Amino acid sequence: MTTPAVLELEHISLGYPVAGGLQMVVQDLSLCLKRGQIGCLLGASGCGKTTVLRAVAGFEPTRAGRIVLAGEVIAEGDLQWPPEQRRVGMVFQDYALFPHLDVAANVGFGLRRMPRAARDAQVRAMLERVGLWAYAARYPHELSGGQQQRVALARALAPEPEVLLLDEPFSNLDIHTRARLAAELRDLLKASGTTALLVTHDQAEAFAMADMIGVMHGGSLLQWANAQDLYRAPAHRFVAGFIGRGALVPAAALGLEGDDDVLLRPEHLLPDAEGPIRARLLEAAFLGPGGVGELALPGGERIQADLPPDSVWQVGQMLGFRLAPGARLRFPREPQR
Amino acid sequence: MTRTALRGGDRGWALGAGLIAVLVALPLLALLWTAMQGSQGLWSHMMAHVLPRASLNTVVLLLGVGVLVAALGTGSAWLVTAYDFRGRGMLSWALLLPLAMPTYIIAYAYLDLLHPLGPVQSLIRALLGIDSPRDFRLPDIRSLAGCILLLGVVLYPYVYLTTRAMFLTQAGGLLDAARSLGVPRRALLRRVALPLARPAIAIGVALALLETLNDIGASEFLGVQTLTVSIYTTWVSRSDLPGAAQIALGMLAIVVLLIALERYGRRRQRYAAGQRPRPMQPQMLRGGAAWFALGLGLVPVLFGFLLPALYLGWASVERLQQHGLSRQLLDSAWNTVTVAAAATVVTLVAGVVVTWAWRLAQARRRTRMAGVCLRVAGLGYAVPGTVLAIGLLAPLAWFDIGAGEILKWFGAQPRMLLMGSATALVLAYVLRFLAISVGSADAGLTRVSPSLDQAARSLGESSGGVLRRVHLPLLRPALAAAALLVFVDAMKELSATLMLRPVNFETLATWLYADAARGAYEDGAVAALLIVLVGLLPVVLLARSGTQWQAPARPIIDEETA
Repeated sequence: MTTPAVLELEHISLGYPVAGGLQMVVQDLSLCLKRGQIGCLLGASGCGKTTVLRAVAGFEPTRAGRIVLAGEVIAEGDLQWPPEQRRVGMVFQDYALFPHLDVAANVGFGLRRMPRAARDAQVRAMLERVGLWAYAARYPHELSGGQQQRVALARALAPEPEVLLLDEPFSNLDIHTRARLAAELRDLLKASGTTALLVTHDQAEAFAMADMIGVMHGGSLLQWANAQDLYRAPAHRFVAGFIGRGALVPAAALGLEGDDDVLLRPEHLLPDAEGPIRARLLEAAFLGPGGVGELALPGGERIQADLPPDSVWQVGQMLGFRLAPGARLRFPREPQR
Repeated sequence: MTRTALRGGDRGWALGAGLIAVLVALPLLALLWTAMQGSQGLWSHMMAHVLPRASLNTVVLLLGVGVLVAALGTGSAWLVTAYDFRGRGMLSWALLLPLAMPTYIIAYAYLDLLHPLGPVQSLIRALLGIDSPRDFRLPDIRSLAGCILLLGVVLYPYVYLTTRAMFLTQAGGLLDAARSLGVPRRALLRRVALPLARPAIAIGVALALLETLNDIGASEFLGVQTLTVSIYTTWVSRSDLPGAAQIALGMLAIVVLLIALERYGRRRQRYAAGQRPRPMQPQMLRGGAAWFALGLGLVPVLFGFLLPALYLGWASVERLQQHGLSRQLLDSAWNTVTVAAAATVVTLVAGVVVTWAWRLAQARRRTRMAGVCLRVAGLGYAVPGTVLAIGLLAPLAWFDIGAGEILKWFGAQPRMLLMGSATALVLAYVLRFLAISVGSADAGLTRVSPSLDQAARSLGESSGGVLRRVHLPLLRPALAAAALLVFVDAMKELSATLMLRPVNFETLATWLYADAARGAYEDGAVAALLIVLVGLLPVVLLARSGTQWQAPARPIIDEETA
């Protein structure tokens, strides 16, 4: 790859001061975004993903490691650039639009040092890009949630930052607007060639938006890869369980060799009345044309399977499956809890 | 670029906040120092003859006023929330009116009203056909009991406000629950509402008693020798500063107790705050019952505001018709306005500096120092004016001595710069009323999401720029309200003004005090009327904001986040 890296996090650790030291929130996290790439940190709340974002923006100091933005070290040890000097734009979860300023003034907020004519032109260009030029004189409270988000985006992009950060960009929107806006947002970022890093807890959002996805758990980045690799080749048991449907099942329960766990996704199970794998149906939901079922193996292990459209299924019924051909991913058994 | 660059701007704010906190704490520390200087001569006399009675008077006064304001405040709050009747809306804001009547003015007005030769007793004698004041006399208002009554009818709104807010916001659901559990309506007050209101009553009573402790005019006019009056006489008449400081320390102990009472009341507010407010359903009264309720509610308004205000109006008109506006009165009005305006500006700026430093510290999660500053900055409100003035005397003298040395260095004649200057007066007002601006600014800032700060920072703005371009515009209503409160409080201030003002410098309050002290009722009524009229402004503000109002805007710091 010849595209240069825009944002590099090198072994950063982050934490909050508490009585008697530091409460570490993120340990030894590294990732790299190339120009124009959209990256995403994915994880449950409390995994430290937002803290990473805040550290890039300059609201949290790094406790170890360093952050390099466009070839310049912006955070390392005692050197911590203040947020206003980093060329980092941010779209906040609540959008953080200034309620006392109209849309145009919000977008122009970061362009104070520009001559007036240039600033007006830039504001207009930004608002046209997000399709809200007609709303320039409105106030934030007069806009819908989706429109507010686009104003926040225009405002963050107006000073032409090296990287754009988005904190849970869709969490304030209802479920129907989310999918539409995710696609729109991706098109917009791609069209403007923006390098972006977003955080979300929603896998569908991450898959829809990002080129590179990092799965975070307990303050660590477990894997940094594209969506397909995350799904097909999870590098860690947590990633395997977290991404996509499926379960980790002891190999022996499936009649396989070895004493480690096997990643069993629904597509690995083919319905076969005579098949060697027998499982009792615990729950079934019709999705159309088929259904999804939650099943229990004889040993009690829970698995998920797709239920074929042409059959009748009843809770409590025993179903038969065989394994689809191909190698299974294996993970060493976790120490007994 | 080092970490200093990250915090360079922020450090200036923290430094400013620290300096302000030191200024507020200085008089209190100096008080301790002064008290330890040892009093000469008359101290044993004081101990034997003055202090025991003054302490007893103060304690009885506090107890009496406490019981009276609790009863009047809670009763009136219950009346306007549990019942609905014609005139209830009017009554619920009219009950606030006595707030506009400073304690020394109500005493001033009633002294004249109830004078044996005054209008009330003359009228009664005329009705009874008695000729000579010697043959019939009402009990003298110049007594401890009179003082309790008068302070009670002007200070009950503190309890009324806190309790009514509680009834309005929290009582609804609980009272309904109680009724569905079989509590009859007439028993609701005793069995549910009163226990529920206890914290609110405690807060209101504590505030009213702080005000009582601060009072110097009413007790002096009514001849009640309280600790506050003792401080004043010990310093002004006997020039015994250490002695005054020792009494002041004793008063501070009472203040601490009252603040503890107030904190106790606020202790559980946090738990209740999350509940969705649901006002209680008032019972409709009609006919005689409605008239009775309205009349009953108007009693404290009548005695606490209407009667004295009408009297002051009448006396002012008389005075103005006969003598016109006197030159001195105009001068003192001008003095009052300029000193109060200067104090307002400085107080607002200082309040913004302290709260902004606190906000920046919160963003950095290093809140200990800034939290201490914020809390110290609000201390002045609880300190009675006389105590603050005694505490300020030593630092003022130190400053003047130091400045004198510097002046000598430059070959100039050393002179008193602060001591006995209007600047000292402004300083005292700022220290005393800083809590108002800090409280308002802090309350305003907590309503602004921290992500706005971060958005502005990441858009390239420095901390000062964020304040100027984002927060000051957003805080404007809160700061305007704070400015009004500070201005009016500074205008009304009497106790610290009496002790710190320059020679021959009169404010409206001291002018009235001098009038009353001489027993010559001349321009005093006009001055009093002016003060009451200006004092009505915050009451209007309060009535409009309804239940939103918090007790005198002292900063309420959440212990958990601090």
